[in-house]
Amino acid sequence: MAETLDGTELTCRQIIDFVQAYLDGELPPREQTIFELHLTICPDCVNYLQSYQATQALSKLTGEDEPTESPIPVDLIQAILAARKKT
Amino acid sequence: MSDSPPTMLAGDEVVLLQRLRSGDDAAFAELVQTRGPRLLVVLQRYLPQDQDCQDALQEAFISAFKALARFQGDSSLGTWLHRIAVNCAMMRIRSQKRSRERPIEDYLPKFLADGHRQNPGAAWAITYDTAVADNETRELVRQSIDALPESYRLILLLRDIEERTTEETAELLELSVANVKTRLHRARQALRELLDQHFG
Ligand SMILES: [Zn+2]
Repeated sequence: MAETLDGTELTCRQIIDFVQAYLDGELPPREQTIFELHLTICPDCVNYLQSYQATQALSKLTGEDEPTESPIPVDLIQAILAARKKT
Repeated sequence: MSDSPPTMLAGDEVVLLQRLRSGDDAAFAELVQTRGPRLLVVLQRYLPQDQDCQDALQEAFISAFKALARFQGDSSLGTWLHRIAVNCAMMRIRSQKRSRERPIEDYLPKFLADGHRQNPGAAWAITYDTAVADNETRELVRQSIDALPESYRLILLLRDIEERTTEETAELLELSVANVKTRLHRARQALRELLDQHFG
């Protein structure tokens, strides 16, 4: 009997477990097909996937801000320069 | 070194590098004064204690001084120093005793017995462009990252913000590659849950 694939073969819980592997292209072809079929029938998982990707993008953005700097203590500068002489 | 200047260095960095390599004391003072403040801010993101940050900064500069001869200029001087500083922070963290943290399960999505999410919530209203333009949004994300359990926060910082590879992250934290992947997924899931309260 020929196997038929549909998105109900995975639960939302399993889909969420697989999100990272899916985005990294690490799911085996069969699982990838089931994963994508699930997305066509489940708006909740589509939302999850999108917000997961947004989370990654937002994290990255926080690293791109120019930090507010303040001068470092003079004695720390001197300690660093003195340590260089000792090595 | 070859005759052609390294590609990733700005003109003034090439000059500074030459002075450093010739052992010019003033050049070392200039490097610490101009680059130190930025590196200290970077370290503060990893190390909560002020004294730790200062010690790590000193370690970072000392290892940078030692590595100067090997620096190829395949990144900017700033990027190179930044990487060294983060590595020093990680060495400190590894050598410190782990404090107990809240279990990550507390932050992960909850499911019903049939495998559906308990509180699926709505699609996020936020767009990338809003986040780029809006300081408050980024501050909120930053605070949410800081609220993650420490060991997960570190993996998220290294992978998604520092953009270190899985392999590098595994090496820095002395974890297996598979473990880094699993933990990164949980860290992102946990952060997504925290942000969902604001954006969902
Ligand atoms: Zn689903």
